[in-house]
Amino acid sequence: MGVALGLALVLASCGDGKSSSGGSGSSGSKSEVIAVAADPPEYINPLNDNGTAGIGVSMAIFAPLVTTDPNTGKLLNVMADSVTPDKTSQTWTVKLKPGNTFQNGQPVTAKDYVDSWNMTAEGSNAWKNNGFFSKVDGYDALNPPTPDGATPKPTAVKTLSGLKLVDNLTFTVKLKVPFSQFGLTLQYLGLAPLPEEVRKNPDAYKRKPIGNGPYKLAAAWNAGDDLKLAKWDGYKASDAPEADSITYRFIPNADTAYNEFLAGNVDFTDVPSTKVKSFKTDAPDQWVTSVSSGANYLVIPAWDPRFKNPKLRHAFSEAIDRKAFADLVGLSDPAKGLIAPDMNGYRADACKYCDFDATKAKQLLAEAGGFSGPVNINYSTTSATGQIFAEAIGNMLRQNLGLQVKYTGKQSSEITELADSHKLDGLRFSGWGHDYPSIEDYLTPMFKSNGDANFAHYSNPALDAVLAKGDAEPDPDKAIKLYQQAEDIALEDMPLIPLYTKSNAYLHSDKIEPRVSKYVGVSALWATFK
Amino acid sequence: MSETQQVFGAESQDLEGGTLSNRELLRALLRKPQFDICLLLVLTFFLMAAVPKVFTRTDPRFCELGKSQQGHQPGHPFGFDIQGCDYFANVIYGARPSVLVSLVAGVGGFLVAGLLGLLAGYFPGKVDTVISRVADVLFALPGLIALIVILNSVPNRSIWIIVAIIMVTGWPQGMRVMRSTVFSVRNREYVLAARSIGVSPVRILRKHVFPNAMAPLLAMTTLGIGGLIGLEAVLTFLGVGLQPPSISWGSQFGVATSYRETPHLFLWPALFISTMTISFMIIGDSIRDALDPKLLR
Amino acid sequence: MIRFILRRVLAAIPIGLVVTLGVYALVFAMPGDPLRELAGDKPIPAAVLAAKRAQFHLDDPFIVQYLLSMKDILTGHFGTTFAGADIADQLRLRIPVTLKLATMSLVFQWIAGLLFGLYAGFRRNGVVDRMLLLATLVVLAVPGLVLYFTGQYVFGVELKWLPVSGARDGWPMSYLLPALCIGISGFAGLARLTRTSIVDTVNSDFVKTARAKGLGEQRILWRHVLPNALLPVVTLMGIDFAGIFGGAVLAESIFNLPGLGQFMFQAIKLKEGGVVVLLSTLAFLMFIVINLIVDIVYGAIDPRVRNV
Repeated sequence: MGVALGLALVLASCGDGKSSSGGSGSSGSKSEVIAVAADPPEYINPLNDNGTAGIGVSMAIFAPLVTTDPNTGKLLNVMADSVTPDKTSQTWTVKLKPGNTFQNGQPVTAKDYVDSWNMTAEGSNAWKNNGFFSKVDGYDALNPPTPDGATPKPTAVKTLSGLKLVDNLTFTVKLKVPFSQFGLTLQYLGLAPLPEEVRKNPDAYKRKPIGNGPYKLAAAWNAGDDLKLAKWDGYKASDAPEADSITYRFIPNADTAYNEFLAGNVDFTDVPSTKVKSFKTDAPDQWVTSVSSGANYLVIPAWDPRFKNPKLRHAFSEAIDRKAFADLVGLSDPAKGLIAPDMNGYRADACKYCDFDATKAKQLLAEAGGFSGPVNINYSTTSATGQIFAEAIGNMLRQNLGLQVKYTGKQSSEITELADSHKLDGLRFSGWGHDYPSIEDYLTPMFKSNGDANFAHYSNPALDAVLAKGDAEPDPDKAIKLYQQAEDIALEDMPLIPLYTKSNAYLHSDKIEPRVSKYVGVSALWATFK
Repeated sequence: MSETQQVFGAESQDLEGGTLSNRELLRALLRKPQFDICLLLVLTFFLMAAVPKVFTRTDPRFCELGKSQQGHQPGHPFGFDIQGCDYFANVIYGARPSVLVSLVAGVGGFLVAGLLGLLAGYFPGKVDTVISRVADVLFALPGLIALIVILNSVPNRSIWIIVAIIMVTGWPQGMRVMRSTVFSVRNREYVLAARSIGVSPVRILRKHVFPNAMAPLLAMTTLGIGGLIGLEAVLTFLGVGLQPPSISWGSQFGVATSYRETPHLFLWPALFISTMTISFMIIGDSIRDALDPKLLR
Repeated sequence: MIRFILRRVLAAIPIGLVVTLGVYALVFAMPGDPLRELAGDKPIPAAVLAAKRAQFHLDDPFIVQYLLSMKDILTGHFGTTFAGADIADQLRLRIPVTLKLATMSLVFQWIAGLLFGLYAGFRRNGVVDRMLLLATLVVLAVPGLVLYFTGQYVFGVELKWLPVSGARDGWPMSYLLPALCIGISGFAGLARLTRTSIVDTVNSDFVKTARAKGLGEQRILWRHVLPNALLPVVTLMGIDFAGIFGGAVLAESIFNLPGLGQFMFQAIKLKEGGVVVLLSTLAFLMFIVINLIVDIVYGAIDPRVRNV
């Protein structure tokens, strides 16, 4: 019948033709074309963007307050002259370096920061980095609870009471509670300032951003265009990248971006998950890998009484052959802790229940009283590999524990929605990568009661107490010890079963050498030219 | 030929059993060697779908992840799939959903599209208007999109839901092709002649119009059977295909496209699918030839 | 003729309403929260979520959302997508891309399909006929995904004859490879249908009669065989045309062409009812026009069906 014919896209073959494709399309002495395997952003505004692609290109146009030194891992000032906490780490003073300007010539002042942050913190503006300011005093006044279905009204209060302008280049941030890691969080690019003319009418500047960073738009940027940037000579910070011009080309299909690289049309691209086994032969001497950034877990539904017993969770954990699973994922290592390995405070052997041992797993399951009914494994249909990974885990639970297993594929948003209302049946996958390099940024979001990313809806007052102690501890080393205690509690309760940590691989042309840092990963923006 | 002769010609063909009886039809078909071979192949696939255990004793769901993607070994002629399960057993067990989709959606679609196309083509006016406008509605709703939306909405994606949606959204295409051939057959001399001597419309449709007008639709259907299995692969790729533990050629295709460095994952189901499709195509052609009164003389 | 066209256009209006309502209902019924899907793994503060929901009327009842969307479409105020893209801009960008890709691939498909089909039909069981069978087999056996990527790899990466992806090289260079791929994937179906139809017609009574009457082969071909054999072929060509306008989702994705198919796919994933309905309406208009043309062409090919 006809439907198959109409669906011509099922079947295809290819013909030939004649011509040659252009080179990298680059000109000038030091120029590079960077492929971004994502849908093109529709606007550039770091305060209203938290996606990897959008923040990635914003990094070229905007500059953060502070950044991590790629060589030492220490905090470096960029726009800031100093960031200092008071004794309790509750009030922080930010001093800006004098003489920095926006690309429209106006100086970067403390007022630009305070006003930009206030705009973002106002809930009715619906800017994506709003959540960052929830730690700041006065956030609730700008984000009153709205009844379901009602339109949030602009609030009468327009400013965070915790933000105080001191002088032209100084402002203070008062937090709701002491937080020793706040200085680290300021390297997030989503806190970059917008100049006054943009703040007045952000919509008018959606596609023509005015930043304070090393590059500015080199050409008009319309829907469907590559993003062409040129070095901005007004950038005074010491961390300016080498390239004179950069072109960002958005290729949502990662396999296509990979092929564009192999054809020599782009200088830098990610290696898609389907190529992790072949990229070293496809592009010999043209690849780099990063230390893993982020960790991946199997989430236990903490609300389901069948999964209540920690012994059962440990049984599941020990029934998983992490080595084989990491090989299936590719470029991955088995995870034996809840923290990514590039974090200060990571312990390779934190987890006592993460070694594959089918006999012990069965024994633990018996001690826990078994499991009734089939284990459902939810996977996201949005990713090409979701189903494959789910089946691999399912096979191990089925064969090593003798359990029945079933599978449910759904859109990831639907899985999240069901989990949030405690209606999700069974296990699911999740992953987390830090916004700022601190082990705290793993433990607080995922394990604190009501944390931002508390996938399992887990809550343990003992863990919350240890975290609060760590947050209030000004000495970084002592703080890390406290956070590690929290990790131990979480591993004992095991709301998340550690699975694997994944490195990323990237390809680069012979012209450039990307910056590889064990602290901040791989960057094409800061590539050096040969 | 004069008018009268034509009338008599048309009716006598009918009276003398110009279309064959079932037994004669079968005998005529079996005389063709290519039909026999293809019938045998299709029956093998049906058997595979019904009782896969006849072909393999290996459990397709026993998997060792460590053997993922390995090539063939003694006892494992097709090697291992991505999960480290025996691929031969998986390809054998994969026949069931694929055969079901192709057969039910193919045959069902042929009947629905054929019947509606026949009515729309033969009765221009109200009947045609109703059928064609309903078809327009379904047409304007792109089939793939309807599939994605509906399959995303149902709690349990089963093979029957996929079949049902394909039938509901797919018939307008076949209907339009059938309708267009009926247009050209409707005014042929033998139909006019039969009508003029008062043969009932049902009989005219069954004996004269349908056999003479169904060839393009049949060609489209037999060709589409392979496409239906490919469609299932696309559904898997788009994230709305059959869920494990279902095993099907379509989802094997879908997985294989993600792991292109292991061609055997793709090769074996592709071989089975194309063999089955070509068999259906040749069987379709043979039946058409045998049924076609024009080719008898 | 004008009355016929007018009648069809008028009939299209209620169908269009049913279609838009149906499409909107389907999208509405899909599970999942679009804003969450858009946010990915990142947490969204409650206030932001509420503000966004209000901006896109996501908390209104179904029929209100539908009417608001229809109002936007009819008044031409398309607004922005959930991700912040200006929809009018997107249409200006994407419609030409899809039109170029669609027409080019259809030209390939039709030329190859008709040539092969006609030739194979007249020389049944000849070399071309057997090659057609083989080509059909290959097209059926190899999934489109694999062949799109293979084509891209061979002609773009290895041979560098054609651009790997993107629309930067403009028409026709950027469109050649994807159009050829789509064309070849569709030509086999058209060719087989044409072949069958020709074989069927050549063996029919009236052609035999014509031959018996001693008419010239040329005259039989043009006056008797083609008019009758081409009706289903024209139908399928029309169906293909309408279908391809909806967008070649996979080809656009793999060759990174910013066409309507990708836009539609994204919109469905994010449950953007307004965008899906807008695009469906466009596809529907296109479909009505093409169907009308096909029915008029029927009349031109075979005067006997002009009374429809």
